[in-house]
Amino acid sequence: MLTLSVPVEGTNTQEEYRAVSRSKLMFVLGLLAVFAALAISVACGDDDNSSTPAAGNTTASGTTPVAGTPTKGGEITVQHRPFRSFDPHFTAFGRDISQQGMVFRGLYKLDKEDKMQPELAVELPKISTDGKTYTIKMKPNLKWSDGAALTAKDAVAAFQRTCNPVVAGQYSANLFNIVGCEEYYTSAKKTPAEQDTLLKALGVRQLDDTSLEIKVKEPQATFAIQLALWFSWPLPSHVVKAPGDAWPTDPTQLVFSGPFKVQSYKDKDNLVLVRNDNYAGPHLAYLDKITLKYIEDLETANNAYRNSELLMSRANQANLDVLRSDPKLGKEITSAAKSPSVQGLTMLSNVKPLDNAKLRAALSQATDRVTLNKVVLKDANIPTTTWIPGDLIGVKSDVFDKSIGYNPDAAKKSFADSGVAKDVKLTLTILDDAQNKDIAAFLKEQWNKTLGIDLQVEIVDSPTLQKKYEDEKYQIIIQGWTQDYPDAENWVDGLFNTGGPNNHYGCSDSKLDDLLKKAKANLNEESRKAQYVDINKLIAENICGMAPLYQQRIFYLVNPKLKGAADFSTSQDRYLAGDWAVEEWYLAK
Amino acid sequence: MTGYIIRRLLTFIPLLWAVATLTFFLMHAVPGGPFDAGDKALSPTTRAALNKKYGLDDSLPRQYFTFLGDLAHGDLGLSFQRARPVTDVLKDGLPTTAQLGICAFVFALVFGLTLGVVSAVNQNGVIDYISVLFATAGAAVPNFVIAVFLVLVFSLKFGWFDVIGWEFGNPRKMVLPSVALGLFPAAYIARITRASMLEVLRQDYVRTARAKGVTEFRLILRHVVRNALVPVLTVAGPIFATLITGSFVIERAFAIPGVGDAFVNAVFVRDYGIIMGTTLLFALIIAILNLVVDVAYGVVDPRIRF
Amino acid sequence: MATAEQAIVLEPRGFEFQTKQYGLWAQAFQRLRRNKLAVMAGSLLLAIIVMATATSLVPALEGHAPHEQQFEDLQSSPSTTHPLGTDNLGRDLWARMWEGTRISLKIGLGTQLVVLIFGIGIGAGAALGGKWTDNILMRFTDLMYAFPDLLAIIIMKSILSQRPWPIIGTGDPQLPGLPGALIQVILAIAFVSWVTLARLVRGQMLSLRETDYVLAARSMGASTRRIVFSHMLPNTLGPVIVAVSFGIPSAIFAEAVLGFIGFSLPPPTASLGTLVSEGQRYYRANEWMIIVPSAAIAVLMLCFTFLGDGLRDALDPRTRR
Repeated sequence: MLTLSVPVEGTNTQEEYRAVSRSKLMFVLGLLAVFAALAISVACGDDDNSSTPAAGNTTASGTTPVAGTPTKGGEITVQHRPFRSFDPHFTAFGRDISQQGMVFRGLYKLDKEDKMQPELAVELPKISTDGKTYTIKMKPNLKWSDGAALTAKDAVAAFQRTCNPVVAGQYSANLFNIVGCEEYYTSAKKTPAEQDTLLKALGVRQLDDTSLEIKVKEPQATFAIQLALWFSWPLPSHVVKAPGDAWPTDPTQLVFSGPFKVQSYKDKDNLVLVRNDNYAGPHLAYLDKITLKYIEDLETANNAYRNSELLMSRANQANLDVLRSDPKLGKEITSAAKSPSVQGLTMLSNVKPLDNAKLRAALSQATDRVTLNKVVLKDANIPTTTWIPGDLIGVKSDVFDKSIGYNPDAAKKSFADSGVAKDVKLTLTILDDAQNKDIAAFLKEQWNKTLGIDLQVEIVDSPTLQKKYEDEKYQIIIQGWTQDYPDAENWVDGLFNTGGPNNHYGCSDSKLDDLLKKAKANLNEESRKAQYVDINKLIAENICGMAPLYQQRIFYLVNPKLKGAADFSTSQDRYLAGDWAVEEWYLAK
Repeated sequence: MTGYIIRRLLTFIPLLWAVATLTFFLMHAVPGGPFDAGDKALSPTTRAALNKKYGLDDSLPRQYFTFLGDLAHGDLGLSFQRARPVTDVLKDGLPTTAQLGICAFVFALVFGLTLGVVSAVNQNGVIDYISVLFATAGAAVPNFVIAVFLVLVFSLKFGWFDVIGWEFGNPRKMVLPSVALGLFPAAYIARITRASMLEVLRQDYVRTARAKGVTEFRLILRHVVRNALVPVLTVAGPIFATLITGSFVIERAFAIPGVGDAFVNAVFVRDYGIIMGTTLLFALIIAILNLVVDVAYGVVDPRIRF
Repeated sequence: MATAEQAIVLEPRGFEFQTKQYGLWAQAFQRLRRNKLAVMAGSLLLAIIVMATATSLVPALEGHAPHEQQFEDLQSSPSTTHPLGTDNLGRDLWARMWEGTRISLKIGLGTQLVVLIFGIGIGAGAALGGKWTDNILMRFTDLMYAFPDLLAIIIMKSILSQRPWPIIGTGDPQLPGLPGALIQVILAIAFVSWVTLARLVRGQMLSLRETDYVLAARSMGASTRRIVFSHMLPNTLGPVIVAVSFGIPSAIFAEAVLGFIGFSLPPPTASLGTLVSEGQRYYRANEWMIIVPSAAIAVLMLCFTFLGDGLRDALDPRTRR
């Protein structure tokens, strides 16, 4: 179907264009030129369209609100991408969690300043003096969206589900500090009876209707925060009866604890949410209805936004410069101040020739992050040399510029010191998309200019890249990390320990290992932070497999009528601006 | 003829089996699995649990026989990426893709035939020139570029149509995708119709009819178009198959939830279930359309016997 | 449709009456020469090929190196320094267009070369190899016909690029001017394109086998080898040439679609198809990025189509007037 090949057997007709003269070809070519001219005029023209908005018709009634005060009511349509799983105890995708977070909520949540706040719980968990027992008290009379009681049983079931081997949750490892969780999760090949014993040994139990207790193996400063994340959100155990049962594939068959509930769902097309009046947060959602329209291609989504078919969309960052200079859209484009993601040159540093730290340093120093960001990435991101985002540990993003930042002379010196020959074979493996290809073209040109090396570029699709990465069969790739929770620990634990589950770049440093272990169990905020500052420094200066390039920022187009979304846009955004606090969205009058 | 159709239908079974087998082993030969398409790499513990959950830790031959056993019961398994049965995904997407394909096909047929007939009748006239231009430009510009132009002009500039979605019966959402998808085949049909018309126009019986004083209009409709349709019919089958199985570009450009886009996505995220389901579906469609064309050809051309 | 194929079977070559030994080809050439449109398309194509080759050899024609990035001149419109403007990395679009044309032509021609080998081999094998061979090969052809092209191409490309194969492996080009990744694309597209040609060749040969002159040659004791090579293959060539002339633009087009869904050559090398999909991404910033390669593809398609039409007419005896 792709080759569009013309079936030759069928084209046995001989008369086409026989008598067509020379003038005809010229005519055809001329009209093609007219087409091209038309295209230019269209593309250059001001395509602002001020037709009546179709996506946001305010249906609110009542008194005229004071400007800036949220009003109840209204329906909106926004862009989203199809979820891959609606099961919060299983999924690992930002787009999934974004949608789940609109209809499910946990015992706790993080607020705009990333501080833990009780949501379904009454107060923050009580932690025993040895740091190993967490006691949680839930609000009384909690209800699911169908009116059924939401009790501590449901909260306990969530942990049983996330640790369940059959569910095979992709974030279960975050709960492995719970007594018995890892043992239960890895028991897939054991008999049901053995699994049952392991389930009973799980360190989570219901104390009464509204309270539960969690026992952990080791004290962990960041354990409490896990209770605010999606894999800990209570399970509607009157719908999903046993923790290991399959999650309904149709979200309309579920019941909900969040500010909205699912009204209808059409696979790959849209998800319609309406207010959940049983939501137990600080206030009910303002909007009556949110329609998530699934659009994978961002240029399509942005055109629909331009055409007033959507009130919010991810911005197509390939055209960020055009969007910014647009008189109307330029004002409607927003981004969170803090970025949850860092991308870097990832180098397999335990295999020749990149086991040579000087070579890694030379590559890092030969990379002009500022120009890369400005030219290739449309000035979207923040160039950086620190791996852990500066705001988490109180350092600046250019803190290591002197040692590993762009400096052609230093790069040449490092390269000479490394003793590596100029004809060294280095291969950069990238994903097949326009941005990555541009980055590759940029690096190839720049490294050639500065170091005289000829970088090979190999392009593959996402699963192939991931496989190469996990099998550690690559030399250089561009990838990074997106934080799961706002704490320095999430940026390094398992990523830089020798043999860590997420360390696929051969970083191995006994000093680092030691510090990582100490910091994880440290309950003192001050010294913990200091330890992470040291860890960050060790990673940067040895370029332990990772030379940070830029903090990635995400841009959204938000119609000015839609309030609350851009205001709550933080590093917690999962797919859309402020989507983790969807109850705060409202329509301006 | 019934016997012929039944015999042909029976050959579908080994054909589909062969397609399934080929797809199964080829797709497993491609590096990376369904869990490598995520935002992050998985830890070995998680990967082991996932492989166990979806039966991917069995040996390949064993997975193959499990798959064949399920297939025999009409069960295509589970979509790894969508956590839904594959049959449901196909059931949801196929009607949309079929509607889009039929609309594009009708557009291509009506537009292409009209253009071809009109330009053949006006051979070397201005209308003929314009039709040649259209036929050439339509076939020479990739349809993702055409889609962009259509959206820029007719949605954003004039505001006549919506940018996204598909709704059967709603022209605001139907026109642009159908045109963008149908332009290439329309151009092709126009070319073939024109050529075949010109050939028929030279036949003796046309001359005879003309000599007998049959009016030009009647002549064209009664004698020429009918006879010129045979080669068009031959390509109609493959064209229709291409429209159904090849609409992924348009589905993506207009955010239409069909099986075409699902299929391309599935290939890129190694969603084995969907790959298998769509491949079999497409193979079946192609086989059926081939059969339909052969049968139709026999009906139109009585010289062909089965 | 069989009628047309049979109709191309002309006077037998190498048979007793040798008066028209060279008739077929000479006449065809005469007819082609009379077709102004085909001649123009052919000349234009020749000019494009010459220019594409020349730009790679003479830097002055290119103006700028196709991969040279000028950050002070991003996404610019046509000017005296950049006749067609620059792209998002400040690369000259004129130079990029010619590089893309070169690569797209290589893809088109290379694909058809592979298709020819497989198409003729399998088609002839089926037609001449006896009932069982025919059955097996044709069932295989049916299978490939029913197999979705896109999946086949992606799978082929992934399998090919997964190991450091000799010649076709990624990395340093092992054949001059033909990087491994390019050969992978060619093989992947050819993999799904040979079916039509194989069927065509088989049909052609089956009908030729029953023609009087082949029967006559056989009765006169000509060896199978001789019959195949001096009678059947040459008489099959007409439709094959036509098929190939349409196959080239199809392959160029297919590669463009592959580029759109994200299966293209490693940067900074770009085919016209890759340039179009890049242009589609950045058309809002610089519309020339989409216009230039789209127009280039359109002109190539035009040339091959008109040339193909001309060849078809020229090789079809019924069009003799």
